[in-house]
Amino acid sequence: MTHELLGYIALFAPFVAACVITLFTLRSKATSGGIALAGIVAALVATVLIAVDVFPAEPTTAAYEIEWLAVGGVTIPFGIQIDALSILMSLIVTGVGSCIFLYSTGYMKGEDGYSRYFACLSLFAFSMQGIVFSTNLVQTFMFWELVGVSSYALIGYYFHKPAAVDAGKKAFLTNRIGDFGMTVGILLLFYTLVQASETISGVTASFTFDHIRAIYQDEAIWTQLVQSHETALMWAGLLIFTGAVAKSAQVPLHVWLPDAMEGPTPVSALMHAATMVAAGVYLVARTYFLFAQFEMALHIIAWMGGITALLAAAMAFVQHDIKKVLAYSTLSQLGYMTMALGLLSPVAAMFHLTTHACFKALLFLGSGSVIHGCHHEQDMRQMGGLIKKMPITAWTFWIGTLALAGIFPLAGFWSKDAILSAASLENTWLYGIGVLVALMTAAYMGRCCILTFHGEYRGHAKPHESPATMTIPLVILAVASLFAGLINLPKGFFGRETGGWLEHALVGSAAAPSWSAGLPVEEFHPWVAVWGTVAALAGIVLAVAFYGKRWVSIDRFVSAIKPLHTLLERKYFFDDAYLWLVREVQQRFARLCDFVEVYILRWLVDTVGALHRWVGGQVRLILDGHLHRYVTVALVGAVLILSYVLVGV
Amino acid sequence: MADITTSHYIVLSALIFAVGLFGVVTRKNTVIILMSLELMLNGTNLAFVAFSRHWGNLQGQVFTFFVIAVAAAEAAVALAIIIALNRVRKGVTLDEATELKG
Amino acid sequence: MDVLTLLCVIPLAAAGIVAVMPATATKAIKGVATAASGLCLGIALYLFREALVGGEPALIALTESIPRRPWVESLGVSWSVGIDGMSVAMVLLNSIVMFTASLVSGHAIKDRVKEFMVLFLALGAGVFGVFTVKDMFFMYFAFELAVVPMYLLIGVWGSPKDREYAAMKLTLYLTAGALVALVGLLFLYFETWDYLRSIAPSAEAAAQVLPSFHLDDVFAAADSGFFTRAFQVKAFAFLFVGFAAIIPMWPLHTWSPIGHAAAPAAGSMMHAGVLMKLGSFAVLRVAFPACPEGAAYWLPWVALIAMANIVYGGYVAMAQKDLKYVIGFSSSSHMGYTLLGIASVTVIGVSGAVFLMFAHGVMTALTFGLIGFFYDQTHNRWIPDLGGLSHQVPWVATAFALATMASAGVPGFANFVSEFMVMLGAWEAGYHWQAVVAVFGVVITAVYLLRALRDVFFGPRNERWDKLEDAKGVYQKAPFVLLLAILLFFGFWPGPMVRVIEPGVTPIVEKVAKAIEKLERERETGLLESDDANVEARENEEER
Repeated sequence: MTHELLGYIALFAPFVAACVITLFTLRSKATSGGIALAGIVAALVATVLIAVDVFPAEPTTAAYEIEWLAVGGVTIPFGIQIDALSILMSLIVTGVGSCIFLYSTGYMKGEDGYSRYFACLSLFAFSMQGIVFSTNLVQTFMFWELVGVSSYALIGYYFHKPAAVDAGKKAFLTNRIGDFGMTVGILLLFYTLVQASETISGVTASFTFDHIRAIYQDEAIWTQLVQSHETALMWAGLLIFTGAVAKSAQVPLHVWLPDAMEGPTPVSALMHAATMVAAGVYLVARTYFLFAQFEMALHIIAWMGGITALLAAAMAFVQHDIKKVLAYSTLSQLGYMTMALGLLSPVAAMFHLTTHACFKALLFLGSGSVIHGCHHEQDMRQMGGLIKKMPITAWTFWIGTLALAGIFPLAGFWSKDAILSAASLENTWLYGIGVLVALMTAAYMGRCCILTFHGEYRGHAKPHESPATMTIPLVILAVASLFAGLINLPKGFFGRETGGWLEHALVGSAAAPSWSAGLPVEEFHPWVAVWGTVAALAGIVLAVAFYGKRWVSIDRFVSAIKPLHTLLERKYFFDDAYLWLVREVQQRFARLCDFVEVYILRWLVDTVGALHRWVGGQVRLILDGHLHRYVTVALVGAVLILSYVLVGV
Repeated sequence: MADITTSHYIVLSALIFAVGLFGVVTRKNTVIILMSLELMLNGTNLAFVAFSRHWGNLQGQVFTFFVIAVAAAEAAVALAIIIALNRVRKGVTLDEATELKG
Repeated sequence: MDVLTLLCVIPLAAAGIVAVMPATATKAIKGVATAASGLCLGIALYLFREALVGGEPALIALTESIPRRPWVESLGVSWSVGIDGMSVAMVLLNSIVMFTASLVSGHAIKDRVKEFMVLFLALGAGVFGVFTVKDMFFMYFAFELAVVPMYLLIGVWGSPKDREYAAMKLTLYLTAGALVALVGLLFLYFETWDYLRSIAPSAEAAAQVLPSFHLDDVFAAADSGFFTRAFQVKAFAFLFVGFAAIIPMWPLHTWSPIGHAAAPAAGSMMHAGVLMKLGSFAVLRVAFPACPEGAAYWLPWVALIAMANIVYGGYVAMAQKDLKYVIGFSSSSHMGYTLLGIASVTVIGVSGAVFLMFAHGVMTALTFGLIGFFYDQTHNRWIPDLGGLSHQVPWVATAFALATMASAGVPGFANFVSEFMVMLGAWEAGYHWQAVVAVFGVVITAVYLLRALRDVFFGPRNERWDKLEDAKGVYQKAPFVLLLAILLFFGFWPGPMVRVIEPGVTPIVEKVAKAIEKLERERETGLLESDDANVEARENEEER
């Protein structure tokens, strides 16, 4: 089969599953689960079939496009982009996705909305695949929005719980704000190119990535373009980036992500590991040519990532809900990826995205298993000692934790090291933040593990190990978390002469490129690795000191840093500020408009009506019903008219 | 005795019309008002016929027939109304019938 | 009889048949109404297919094959029909909404079914008339034919609390608007008469020339350059303000939300789905080609007002607690996009506007149909009283959620494509800030719609509504499924609709774009004043 066909299968298989479930099998739960699973596995198989062709070969890119809409000289294509970047991403989405789907069949057993859940989940996978395979900005944007919609449906899955519905709404709206920026960015970019095409030969306006990249990469055209349209192009890039800010939950649009934990746990896993949040990073990597030339844009991106990483990691310390710890951890890791993007290392970002997908899915599914085992208890204060009751979950969770902390030689070590190396070369401050966050990551994850699995059990339920449908995905993902780092062993590591396999595939592939020339090939820096590992180990030691052995009293420590603790517990007042904006500014403005509507516009119109009514009321006094008066009036009128006609008075 | 010219007919017709109009405006009894109305109509009929003769064509006379026919219909309807009014009001004076008040 | 006249005659004939049927035969009456709407839908689909397969030439051929049938020759009134791509889209919209509304009212209307259906069919015929006739007199006539039944539909079958006020306001407002437009039409009529006289070969022949209400004559006069700019500016203002009241353009919109709110479900469906589109359609059909220079002069202001529509409508919707008001103001907000698309005078923007008229019509018909479905049982639209309805009516809740998504401009629904086209068009026309505001409008829309969705359908079960019945069976679900399917079909595959609309819109856009270019050129070279002076000189000459 051709790549194009396989690509379409990889894209549409989950969609077909969603449609079939919605239309035919809403009543039959088992079938729905099976269909959804079949859909995502079909997509995985199709992706793997392409991957075995694409990865070993010399890097190429291919965009198979059809014309979706052509109107008024603007053509919007629809198509399948096949290159290392999209296939890697699709592998993550469908691979991790398959695990999560399988896990869900166990986790969601007995739920009323089982079929609905799988329909939405398939739709979610489809939307994400749409972003992955998109060949152009508009297609990306459409699936971008669809991801938002399906996340709304999934986060608000428990629609009878107001908190869940609100969380879904919050996710949707926050993403909408990002989409707002993204739309404007797309418009600005497209019409800047239209404008440029009038004066600069070789420029044609298009939404297609390959076209735009070709323009950006052509040095002769680029120099002219940048002279006349530098500001517009930079802003276009940054505005498109706002879409990524919302979707990848960067400060200040990160607020939806922790709330999104209201959804079922597998949804959180899918959203945090493989789909949704990864989309932002993927988009920036895909459109890297838009940013690579603008130093200021890169600075903004890098600092946004660094700040997010730091702020989120700090917040993870004060969470009691096991899923929330993981949520803030995701935020923090996304900050890492964004930082890497801003540091001219999209490969490192994609690498971290890949490894992170494995171990974060593992951690979420593990937490789901814990929650399932503890009868829907999510508070870590009600857990403890679970390692004896649910060993598979505990051990795999620990593997995920160590991978996330960046302990050699697990997956996280390699990808984090790649990012820290890039930072150490580019920006010392961000490097410092990176190492600090590495320490914090290890510490809060250590805290999480110790509170959950060690010590005495503090809850009241009877914890038990989860069924095989749930533990098998855990094991698969644990194995992946152990070895995923091997796909990109850095150059210089034990005398390697070339960069990693992933780097070769991505940088070589045209998807990455105009940056491939100027980019430093990622090298192994022993000291960076050492410091990173030391930080991670120190973090774990700290966690053991505080929570395991209780060498230091937590209460005393908390009271010592009271203001900081409050700040963290209130999430830096972001939510309060937004709530204030919504309640006090937005709603007041709405009421003001309503006031104008009711008391000015409607009043004006009604007054016109009332005026006529009043005049009518006055005039009708003449018509008192006495026929004589009518006749007399008619007579007088006739006389007046006659005299006018005859005499001309 | 001088010839009777068209003007005489017209003056007579105007007088009859005026008498009728006076009746319509001043009388309260609906039956009398109806009779006054008939007078007005007949005044115009006279004018029609006079002009018909004056111009030597038949149009005026044709109109007269129409007016007579309409007057007959009108009288029938009006008398019916008056009878109905009498039933409801126990009288035929117009002052009390102010249902048309706007 | 030609196929287009048939389109207007079928509903009227059905209305006549229903009028002589016994009032107790409600089933048969509903059957006749549905069958007539179905026939119209068939014709509309045939036309759509023609437009798709044959392209614009097929439509032009069809139009030319239909002769003018003089009605009052001395006044220049004739029955003449014709369509272009734009009208095809609108005819399709009307027949879809009519068909589904007749299905919906089939089970929603319980008393005075006969009268309801007579009025409903007359309304439909009027709308078909506006979309197809090429004679200004009949256009006006058909418009009134559409508005007046609405008065009774709301006044008799509306929700008891506010129906009289709403019906009165709607009718008076729309009639007043139509009158303003009529002044504009009469301007065109008399100026066209002058033109027809001016091209007569001799003075005697000129004295014999009869006036004409026919749009072709008007356009011929406009294309010949006979209409001066001053005249066009004046005539366009009247035409536009008159038609804008129906769009409805801010601040002439106050009739619309209450009209939506008070009308019965089928009434709201027709009202928001089709009636509101008459205004923007008439602007494109009459005002644009007849007064391109007037349009060029006024459209920048329209683009500004479009922003007001979008933002203001959205925020007012946010402050509403009555579900139908939310949707009502949301409609007026969405019409801002239509206005913006029209004002952009680009092929993509205007096509987007027409497409949006179609998409919004279908979407809003769906929304009001669904609201009607549970309102008929709850008799309550007050959002704080509702809540958790998805426990009792899951099917309706799902359909409503999908309609909400369509309204919020989610990809996959036709609304997204059309709104995106409008944004592209606005940006292309250089209305950058307006486009940005339009994009932001999508955020506002999402805020109030999701809020309404949450407050009405989600949350814990509310025992008070336990007696509500969900949509059951094919008959009740069919209209909603049909509307949803159409939205999704054109959302996934907008190509056919755009291919039909675009050729119809292009010549209109070209005319106005040329006028805009001319205006800009003159503004640059400072010739504008001298042009006005020329006009005055010419008018003086004529007077002499």
